[in-house]
Amino acid sequence: MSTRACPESWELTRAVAEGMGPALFEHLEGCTACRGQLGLEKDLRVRAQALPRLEPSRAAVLRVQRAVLGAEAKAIARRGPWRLGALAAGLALLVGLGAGTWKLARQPPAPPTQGVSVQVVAPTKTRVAETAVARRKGTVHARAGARLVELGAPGDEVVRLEEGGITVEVEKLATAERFRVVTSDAEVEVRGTAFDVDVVHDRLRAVRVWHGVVEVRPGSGTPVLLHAGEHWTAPSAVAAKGATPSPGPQPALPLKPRSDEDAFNAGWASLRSGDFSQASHAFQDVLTTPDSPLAEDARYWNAVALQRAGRTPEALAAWEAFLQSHPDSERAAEANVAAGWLELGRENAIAARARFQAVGAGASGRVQASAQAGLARCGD
Amino acid sequence: MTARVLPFPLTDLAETDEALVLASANGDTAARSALYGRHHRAVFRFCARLNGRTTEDAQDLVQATFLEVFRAAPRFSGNSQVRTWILGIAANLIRHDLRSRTRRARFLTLWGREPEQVTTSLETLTLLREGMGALERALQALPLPMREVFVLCDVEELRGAEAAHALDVPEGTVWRRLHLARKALRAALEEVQP
Repeated sequence: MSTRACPESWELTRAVAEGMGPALFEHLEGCTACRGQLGLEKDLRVRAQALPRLEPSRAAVLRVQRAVLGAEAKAIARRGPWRLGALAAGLALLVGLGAGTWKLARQPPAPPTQGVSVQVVAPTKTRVAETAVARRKGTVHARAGARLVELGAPGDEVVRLEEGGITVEVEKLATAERFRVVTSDAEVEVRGTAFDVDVVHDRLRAVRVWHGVVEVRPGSGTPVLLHAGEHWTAPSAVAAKGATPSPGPQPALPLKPRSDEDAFNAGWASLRSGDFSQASHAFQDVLTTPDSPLAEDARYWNAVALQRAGRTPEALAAWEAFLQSHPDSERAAEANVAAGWLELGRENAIAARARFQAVGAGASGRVQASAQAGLARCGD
Repeated sequence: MTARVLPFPLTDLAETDEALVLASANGDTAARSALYGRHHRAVFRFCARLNGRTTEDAQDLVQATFLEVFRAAPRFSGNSQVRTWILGIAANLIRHDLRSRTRRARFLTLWGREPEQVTTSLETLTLLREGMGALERALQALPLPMREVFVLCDVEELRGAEAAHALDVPEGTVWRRLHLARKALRAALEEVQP
């Protein structure tokens, strides 16, 4: 039997979200109606939490990041000038300025200055695909029937090719700029070149390079570098033709990795520009050079980049790898502090305390202060 | 090898959102980038569900939100979690955007033009196909104040006090609106799936 009157409906709403006190608990034991109501509330909350987690595309994330960091800051009013124009036209109509102003109001909204994607389906003859932004460095010539979507933004341009053939011309790219053609099973990355790509049923069939250098990265298989005049044909396509490779030179050069110094500098440039995932990728490239003198720095900055990217589990693993590989590093204390704060962020006070306590007396005052602050947050 | 100069101070490398906001207020680009990296997904989800139109519109709102976050960073008082503060800014911008769109639609109707049609990109279509279940559709039909609290409390799982802070309303109002929102959603879902 309930010992108190039924609570307000919103009290049950709150109980579902934040738990209930003993009085409400006791009441529910004896009140079927309230228990039923609580069940309905819980059911809806469970369904809400099962909603798909909407994720922005990587291209959109990068576009907005660049904009908000000041390079191309634009306010929310993507169509703002049009809005003002329409309003002005309306006012002008009110004061009788006539049809000329009315025409102005009928103009379509200005296109966004920076589109996320442009879908291009080539007509029956070769044409130049429209690029979303004038500053894009790649020009795509789609052949008849080609289906493709241009994604990304200047600096990281991506052509998603589903079917057919394209010829691509790419101006020389600056450090950290990328241009890729992506299929379901492979990726072709370029740096200042012109080349053809053929795709059948969303599978990469062939690549031919007219000038420059192209890197072909099949999903399964060894990456190859193609130089001017060379081409690559997918193994499945070769087998389908009776093991006869398509005409022309077909080298399969082993991929020459960039030097550790180049990779490190690229990572550093990405780190400074705020592209932390790309920075991490580059720093990890450094570690592919055996006994690189940059390994310690690369491990350290890889962890920093991952932490900055908000990839906490990977960042923690990277800090651990750094400390394991370079236990005597001058930066070991900093690494411990950084890992400690990450653990604290995950509410793992025990692991955090261990990290902070590992900071020795030899650390700088600033690092020690941070460790002490962390220990205080752990409850020490 | 000589250690590279830190592109940002160590103190905010290992520090909290609050430290990033303070550094952002001083124009620290790395801190701003980190703040964006930590919170842009939550802001996008919030804007996409409240805005209820296209992902492009949601991205515009994300952009506007972070521009305002960096502009307002010197005034961050620390009275709420940073995420709550950012979502509050997003909520204000969404309300403003909806009001502007309503005014614009009225204006166009007044002058005999069809209100702007929503164009849907490939990316948006994919998202909608994946995400628009019955609950999502019912959610879009809710009045904005109810949708705000439902998304904040039940989808993003903010506590009532945080949602109240973000929306600048008393906590009791949050619970009442949430109750009404759940009730309306249940009714809508029962109509679809009796």
